Amino acid sequence: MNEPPDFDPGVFETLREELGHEDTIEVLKRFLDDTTALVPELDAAGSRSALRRHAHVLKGTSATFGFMRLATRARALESVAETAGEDDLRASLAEVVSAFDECVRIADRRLLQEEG
Amino acid sequence: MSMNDGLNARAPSANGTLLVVDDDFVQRTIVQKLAEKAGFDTVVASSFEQAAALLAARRFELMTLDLSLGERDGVEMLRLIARLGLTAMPVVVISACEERILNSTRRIAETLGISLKACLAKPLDFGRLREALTERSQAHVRAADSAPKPSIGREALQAALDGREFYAEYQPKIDLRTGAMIGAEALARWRSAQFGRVAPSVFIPLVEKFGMMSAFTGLILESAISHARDFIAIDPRFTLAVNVPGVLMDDLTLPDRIEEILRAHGVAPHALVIEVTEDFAMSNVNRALDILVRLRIKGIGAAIDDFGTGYSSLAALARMPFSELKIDQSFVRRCNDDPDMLKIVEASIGLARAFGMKVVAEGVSSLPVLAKLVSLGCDIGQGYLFSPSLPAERALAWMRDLDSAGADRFAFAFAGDRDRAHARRAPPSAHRETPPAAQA
Repeated sequence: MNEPPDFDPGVFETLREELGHEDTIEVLKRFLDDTTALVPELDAAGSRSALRRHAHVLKGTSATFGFMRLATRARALESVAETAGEDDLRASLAEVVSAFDECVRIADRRLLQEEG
Repeated sequence: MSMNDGLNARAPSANGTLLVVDDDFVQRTIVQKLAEKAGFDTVVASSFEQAAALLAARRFELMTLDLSLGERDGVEMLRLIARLGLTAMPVVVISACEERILNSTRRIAETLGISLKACLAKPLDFGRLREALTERSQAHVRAADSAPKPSIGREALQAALDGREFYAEYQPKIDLRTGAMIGAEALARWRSAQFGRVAPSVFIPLVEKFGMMSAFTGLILESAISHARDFIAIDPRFTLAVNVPGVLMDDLTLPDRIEEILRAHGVAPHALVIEVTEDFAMSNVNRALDILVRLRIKGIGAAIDDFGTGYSSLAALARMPFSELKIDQSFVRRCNDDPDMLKIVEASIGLARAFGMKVVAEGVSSLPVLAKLVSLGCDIGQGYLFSPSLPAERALAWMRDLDSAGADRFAFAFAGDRDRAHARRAPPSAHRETPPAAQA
């Protein structure tokens, strides 16, 4: 599969130039916290329209920080959320969750360090 | 909403107050922070209901609106804005929805009379957001500067008509096979003694509102046709296009009046093309048909303008004797990178061919788009890539310059991407310095 890189540092850098370091870190942390809280709610057996909405928001927000793989997978989830069978949906969800885990690792390792 | 706690305590920011409507914390915070850096006070609403309550309670200078608001959506919000009579507040739509949904939203806003400053896709292009926000704020500042100045009313407009302050500028039309300038579209401009330069988007609706469209169009026709001879002297194939608004397509005397102006200036009818938008056909098809047929019998050309954006049916198109079809710039601009837009451009060209019409692409603004149009066999192009609208003298100089440089002055463009640098420099002056023959 032709997937984008996990992270595009240029995108993140642009955001930081625009918002300043502190504000960027603030919104990044909030994104990580909100999404961490969201993950258990992402349920293939639950409301499909809610799932699609979550995927839609995740797609836009993750791309804003440069988390390109998560954005791509969230878009895939958004597009199948209301139509896919439960197994396919579960697979798509698992892709999103694993991409998000990677975002958390990248953030911890590279983005949140300079905080002080 | 703790981040707005200090709002009322502060002195108002120069650009007024922006309402940020987005149900996602991260997105709305980013928009909010960017807006504050751009000189706005901000108030955020995280739901449709919050936004509705805020709109009912106070005035905002501007709104940014996410199309997805949980179980509600931005289109409902646009309808609410219209219902509350808040259409004077410009809106910037921000959404992760696909391009086609954004385009449809733009159309809904138009129908509701809401001024959509921009439709921005996510991930957000910060430069474009800032541009959308500050473009508004400049207008705001201008309005504030001139606060005691009366708004443009009937008398001011009548005085402008009497003083012949309205005039035509000319945007070149380029033959995409030869690169020659084979025509121009006359575009109405207003340099007011009282208000300075006023944009057509401001004065045209006023002219229509005060019922002065007939006199106004007459003035523009006069102004344009009086210059036509100079263009024709450079190239006898030159055609001049003038817009005739839909409301006048109800006036059966129009063909005779136009013919008289042509005669008075010694300009042949075939040198004039009347451009009408699709929607005119909706008002009174029979009268419009009568007028068009008589114009064509007199030898005057007729173009269907902004093709694809109105509501006319193919049946109406088939019935009307148009000689030229102008594909709307919204399709042309994107035809190189949006497959849907490409299909529309292709189909429009095919349709024009089938009806024996010439095809003009409006809004040609980049080399890849031009190359695409050439490959599709489009006849004529018009747009910033070639030139913006120019005052008569400069348009004539531009045409002469193009003529003397030989038809291959745009060969660099037709040859593809070989020399983008030259195309980026605005013709004609840049090309005078760098003869393009070398690249042909």
